[in-house]
Amino acid sequence: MKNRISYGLGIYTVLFFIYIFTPLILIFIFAFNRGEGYVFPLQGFTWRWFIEFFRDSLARESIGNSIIIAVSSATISTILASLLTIGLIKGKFRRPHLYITFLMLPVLMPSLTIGIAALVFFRTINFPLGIPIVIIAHVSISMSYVFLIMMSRIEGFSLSLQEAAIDLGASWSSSIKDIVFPSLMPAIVAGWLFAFMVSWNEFIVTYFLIGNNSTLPIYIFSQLRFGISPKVNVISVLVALFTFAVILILVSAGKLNRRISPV
Amino acid sequence: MGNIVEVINVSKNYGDIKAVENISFNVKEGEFYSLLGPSGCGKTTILRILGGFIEQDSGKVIIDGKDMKGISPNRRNTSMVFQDLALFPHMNVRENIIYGLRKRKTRPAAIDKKFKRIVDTLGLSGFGKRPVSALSGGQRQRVALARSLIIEPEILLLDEPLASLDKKLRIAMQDELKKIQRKIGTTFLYVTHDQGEALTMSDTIAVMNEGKIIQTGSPDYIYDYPDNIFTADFIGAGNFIPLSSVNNNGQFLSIRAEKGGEFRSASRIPHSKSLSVPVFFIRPEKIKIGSNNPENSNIFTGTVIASVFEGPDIRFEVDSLELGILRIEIKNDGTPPGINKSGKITFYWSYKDGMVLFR
Amino acid sequence: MSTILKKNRNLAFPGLLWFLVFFLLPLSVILIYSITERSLISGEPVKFTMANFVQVFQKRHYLIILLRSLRISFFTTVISITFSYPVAYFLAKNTRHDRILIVMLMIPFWINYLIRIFAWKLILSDNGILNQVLMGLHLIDEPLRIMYTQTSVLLGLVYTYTPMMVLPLYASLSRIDDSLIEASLDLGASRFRAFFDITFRLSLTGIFAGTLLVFIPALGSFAIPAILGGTDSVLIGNMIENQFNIVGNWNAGSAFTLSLAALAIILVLSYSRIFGLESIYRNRGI
Repeated sequence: MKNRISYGLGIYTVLFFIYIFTPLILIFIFAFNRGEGYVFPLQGFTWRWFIEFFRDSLARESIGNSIIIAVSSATISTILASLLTIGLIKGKFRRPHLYITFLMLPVLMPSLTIGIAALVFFRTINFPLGIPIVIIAHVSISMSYVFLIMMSRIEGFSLSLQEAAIDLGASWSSSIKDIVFPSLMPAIVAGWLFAFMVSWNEFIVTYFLIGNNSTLPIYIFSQLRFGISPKVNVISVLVALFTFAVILILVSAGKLNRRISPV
Repeated sequence: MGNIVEVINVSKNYGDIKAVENISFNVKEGEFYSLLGPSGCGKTTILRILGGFIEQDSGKVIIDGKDMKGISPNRRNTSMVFQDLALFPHMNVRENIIYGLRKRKTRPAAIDKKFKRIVDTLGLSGFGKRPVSALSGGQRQRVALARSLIIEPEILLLDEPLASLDKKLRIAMQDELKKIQRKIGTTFLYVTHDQGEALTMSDTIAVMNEGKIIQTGSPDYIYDYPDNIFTADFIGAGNFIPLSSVNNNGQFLSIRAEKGGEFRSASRIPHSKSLSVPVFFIRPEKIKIGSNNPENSNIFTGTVIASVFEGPDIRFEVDSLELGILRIEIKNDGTPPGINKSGKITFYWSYKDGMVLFR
Repeated sequence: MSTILKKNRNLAFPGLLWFLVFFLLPLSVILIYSITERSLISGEPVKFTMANFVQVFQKRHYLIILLRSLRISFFTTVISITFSYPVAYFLAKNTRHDRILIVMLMIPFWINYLIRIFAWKLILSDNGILNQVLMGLHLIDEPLRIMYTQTSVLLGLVYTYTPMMVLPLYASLSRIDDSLIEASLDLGASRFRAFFDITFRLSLTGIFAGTLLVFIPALGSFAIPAILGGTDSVLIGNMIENQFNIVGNWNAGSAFTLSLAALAIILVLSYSRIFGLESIYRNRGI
């Protein structure tokens, strides 16, 4: 009985993964297909779309902007959120739960509303639209998520670790640098990756705030409107390869890390 | 040997709660000094005040002749072993142990020398590269000790460091801790709620309750001569026989139990508060079973209502019509105690054992 | 009290300041816009009005869009819970390869969701892959019309956000101690009852956390209905975008935006009363 159920669940899980990956596989196939359209049967292998993609300066610029925005917003957001978490949970606050509830507001609101608020605010104070504003808005969106991720893990961090460091002669600032941050590193990495992902996928807020620049999602969206060239697919192949590389690095780094100190 | 620690009239409140109330005590150099009391009695608060993690509301803390007011933990020559040990999870054993020396900017050669000496003393040789998570409970314990001892503190503060160990390991570590303390001669200030721990390791015990120290003395003195019900009850086991009268007839106390039994005691009546109720306190192992009543002892009879075999000891619960229910503990020396089928026994204790306390 | 705690506290201030300046302040600015008549920049005297909010709930057109958005996000959430529960359960209880499978599940998130939505367009359109396959197998004679309907929007939303539901569900399920279920079976519960009384109830926190990650983005979605939807599948997000980019009425747009934010917060908070708000961050899945 129990075996039959877990067998069934296994099959279901395989189907689920097929469902998740089928669209990606289709895109990969058509990135190498010679024909202009998206019809079967396939018409043979080509690098043409890759060449066209790399000749497209707008596409290159969009990817560059996306990386700049995602890396800076994830970094700012992770720094702010980790300091915030340490301060709020391991510092002396009269009513930490009041602050926590307020800080959860961005998680409870669609990101669109945060983008609109940023748009109206920056236009009202007459600040020019562009990449800096996009980064600011992305930080406002992702900071609360990173804060939540950090908070769920900081509970395992005992204040006595920091006290021990200070007791042994460390100053307060080196106790933060030597002990608190390294102990929270797994959560910090998870938070950064999440913030990067939020920014990397974010379309609507960027769309409002980017002004005359372009990012990858903006570029794809405009391509979708003008009729779809398979060179768009090339982007996803590149991103997928990059992702695989990152995952491989992370997995091996994770293994390495675990060998040194399985936290 | 002089006093290395002087605590003078220290108080600390958390809101309306008096965690520590006007406490004074001295610790001699090289002593193993324990603060013993139930959880919430203020013993950890005292320790954290000495370590510099919290500041007292009033009173003075003097360590090695210097007033500690306003001196932060990293400037004090004290070191703390935390209850959860607080080993740094992202560092290996060596990095943990030499952390304090690195913060003191000790030269690498000196670090190596001190590290080697401390791991040899504590039996941690060869563990340097291990992650702390790969250690057993006892090894983690010793790493925490080594990390604190390597910076050569004047006083080592220990906050129930054995609490998380299982019973067998805890007892083994008690012996070891005592040996280490003898060997290096550092003053230990040890906080615990475990009376067994305090009795086996300490030179001096201060019994604490509700923010106050209620008795101070060597382990055997505190065990044999508790001067209040709390200490008598908290340390070891005891029988408390409610009394209706106590008269001093010069040579002995003539005592009458509430249940009617009359007996004598060679103890003196401690100073008592008015309205307090007298109680006769006697340890279970001081009561003997048998009818060969020696001189100067009180003899009673009773019925065994339960007996518990505890390996080295056998424990009886005896219902005596004249005294109430008593606990008696005898050594298991192989000879069966004289108990007949009906469970009726005769028991006795010497006049010099037991004492009158006041509730 | 302890100086360490006091010093630690100061670390919170940069984040709190950021939150104040770049989140609460902008929100108050659109609040002002939403209750006034003209642009604040124009320099003309400000006039207060509730008309912007009133029209959200009075004009039939807007109300239809609002209800449609709620309906579609609700179905997206329910379907994603149904789809992902067995997967999360399998990952948590029936396999030892759960970590690597979770990593695999995250891969699509790194590939921009617009590209994934575009793939669905390839699959669902009239001469798309689904219709090519079905017609090739002679299961249908003329193409199914799925593209540019509410169905295609729903499919796109479910596809995009379901993995977001799997993660917290998996986290909450894997934390359930198996001995609890054994104990319940031991006490005479049927497998079905044991599942409902123990497993399902303890996974509710995961469902809640997942709902936050699915319902809220679905409610505020813009690109998915814009790509996959037709005229009958305009959602609040598209309506707001329209107010700002086409109509250019910031006052009405601000009122719409705040209504959307308030709606999301009220729904989630009332929903969270069942679980307690702290279950959001107690759940390690997000």
